[in-house]
Amino acid sequence: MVVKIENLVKRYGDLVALDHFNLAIEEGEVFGLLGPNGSGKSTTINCLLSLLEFDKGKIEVFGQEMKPDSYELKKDIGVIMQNVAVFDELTVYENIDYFCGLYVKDKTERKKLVEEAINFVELSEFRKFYPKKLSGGLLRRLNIACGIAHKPKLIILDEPTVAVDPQSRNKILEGIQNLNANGATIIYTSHYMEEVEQICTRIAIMDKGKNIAIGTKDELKAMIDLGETISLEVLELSEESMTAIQGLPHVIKMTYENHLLKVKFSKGKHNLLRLLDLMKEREIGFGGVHAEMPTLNDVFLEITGKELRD
Amino acid sequence: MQHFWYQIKMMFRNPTGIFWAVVFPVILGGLFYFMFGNIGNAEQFSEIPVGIVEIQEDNMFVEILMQVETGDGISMFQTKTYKEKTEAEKALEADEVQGVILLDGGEIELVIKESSIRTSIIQTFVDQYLQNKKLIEETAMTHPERVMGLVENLNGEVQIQMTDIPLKGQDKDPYAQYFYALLAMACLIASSVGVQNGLAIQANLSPVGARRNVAPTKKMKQVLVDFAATLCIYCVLMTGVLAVLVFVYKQEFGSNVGLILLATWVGSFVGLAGGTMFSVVLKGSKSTKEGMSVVFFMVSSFLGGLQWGDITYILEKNCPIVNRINPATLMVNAFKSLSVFGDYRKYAVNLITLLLIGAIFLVISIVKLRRCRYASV
Ligand SMILES: Nc1ncnc2c1ncn2[C@@H]1O[C@H](COP(=O)(O)OP(=O)(O)OP(=O)(O)O)[C@@H](O)[C@H]1O
Ligand SMILES: [Mg+2]
Repeated sequence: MVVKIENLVKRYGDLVALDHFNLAIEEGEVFGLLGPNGSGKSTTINCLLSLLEFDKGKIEVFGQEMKPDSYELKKDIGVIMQNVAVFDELTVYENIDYFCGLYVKDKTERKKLVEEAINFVELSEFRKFYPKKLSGGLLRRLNIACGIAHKPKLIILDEPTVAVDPQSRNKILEGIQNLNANGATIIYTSHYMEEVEQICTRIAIMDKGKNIAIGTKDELKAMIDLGETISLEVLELSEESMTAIQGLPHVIKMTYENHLLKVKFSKGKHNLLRLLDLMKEREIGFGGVHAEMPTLNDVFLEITGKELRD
Repeated sequence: MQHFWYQIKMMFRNPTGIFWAVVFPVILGGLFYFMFGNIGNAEQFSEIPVGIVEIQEDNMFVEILMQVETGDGISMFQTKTYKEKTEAEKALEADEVQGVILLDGGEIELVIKESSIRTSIIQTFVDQYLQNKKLIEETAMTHPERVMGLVENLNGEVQIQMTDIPLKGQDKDPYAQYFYALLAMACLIASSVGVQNGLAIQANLSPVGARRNVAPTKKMKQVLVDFAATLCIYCVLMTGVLAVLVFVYKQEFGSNVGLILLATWVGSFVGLAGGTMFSVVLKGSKSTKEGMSVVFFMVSSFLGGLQWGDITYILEKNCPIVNRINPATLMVNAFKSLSVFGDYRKYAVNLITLLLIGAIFLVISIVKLRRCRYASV
């Protein structure tokens, strides 16, 4: 067990940011913490790192209790915080060397590690740049390099892709998978479900400081009734036809807005076929058929009754 | 070790802290130089005129009073004897004398018009005399030959007392006081850099602080490395400021400039440690802490006599503890005890007090910082 959090409670005054939160992460996982803004992801991470006081609970890392002076444990942890944490007065290279130096004392070894980190985030051309001169995406990459240069066994990333262009974002996601392939356990927090679905082997969905669901993405999707959502472009649709559609087996919900018909089906076979048959029977013209499998947003929606993102 | 050099690099790349520590005192020093330059040497030492009314004769007191000398061997007091109390009071009113001493048998009473540095010297003498009177009288009866020794002792006491108060019109350069206070302030400006260092190690006050908290290097070590690097820079800066004061503004710092320099280094140590402590101990936002460090060096140097020389004298009278612990005053006294009085003992006392204060600041900062978790990040 790389990380074990039991019954963690953290209050900010009257606000309960973490409410008996539990988590267990195994070695080799890319573990996703998915939750809307303010759900308590960063709070969890900061408690895990012994940065925050908490009211109740137990936190173990690599099987030992995590405390502010757990220096042996800290050696094997790499952290990329939500806020970019670099010195404005140091260049790209110097920043990485500074932070790596807090972990690795040996000069030649550190030099090698810093070079590797720079290449890893593809910042070699910018090594002499000051952070102020870097674009948002490059800055995020520097932030990551500062956190991982010492080759930690456990890497914690708190929303590393916020405000990053798609190109940099993909680089970052690929990089994280590479780190994992090289043996690191990853904790990745985000409120973008696409990212989490793309890279995470296991996901915990958080809301209001609670862990409301946990599993692989397929397991999570299997938890809900929703099988697929089928949408069709339809020019005109009579009340009568709508009722007929609603009468089809497995239909959970149907909407018709702006000439777009959306039908949500629960799990079952031949849903699309039955719908198309009905359209043909009633001679309703349609175009552009889309079938979508459920997303994590649907999972979140079904459990909490609200959208993951507003 | 590389963090030491990075800290130094960072200070040079963001030179606000350096800038203020050098430019502010140099500009202010220039201002003093031109303001005081014209009147500078005009005011020579003059004896303090004291009126004496002997309601009942007290030869011994008058004798000893006339024997008191400044360090340079000039009599400190000039006595004028009056027959009537009213006559003396008139003279006091007309500023012919600074104080009137009424002698009535054993009783000695000092009347002054308004408090000033000079009247305080008279007061010091009278107090010292009263304290030693019995001893002197007894000695005069039994061992008349030893009376001179006692008087010399008394003389010394009065002089040492004087080192604590600014002696306007007594020093070789009456305005040196302001330059001493200025140099003290230059050292204490280090507190603003101390605050910056403190912010950069606290997880709830800066992102880099958070990163440094999750690293396996002990906080104490990180704090001390930053501290040492910053202090080194300040020592160099203060050497420069002192050089400007000595060579450009032609200030006299006595024969032992090396020890003056050492005092500025100790002063920077106190400033830095103070700043670090403020950033750790004070509640509130970044800017509150930054603001407090400015208030600290401003108030401290004000109390040290930067703007108004008489302040230390007033404090000495009403609240002497402030003068014993205020870093700027301690530094001014250290400078003064060397350059004006050549008193190494006094210098050492001031310096050790400063070192102690700095060490307390630093220890408090480290104790507060280590192994802490934050209430909110
Ligand atoms: N320092 C603080 N003081 C008071 N309340 C706080 C503080 N930090 C966070 N909170 C509150 O705690 C809750 C959890 O915050 P947290 O930052 O952990 O959320 P998050 O999931 O990381 O959100 P985001 O996606 O916006 O980063 C929020 O309701 C937030 O308002
Ligand atoms: Mg967050």
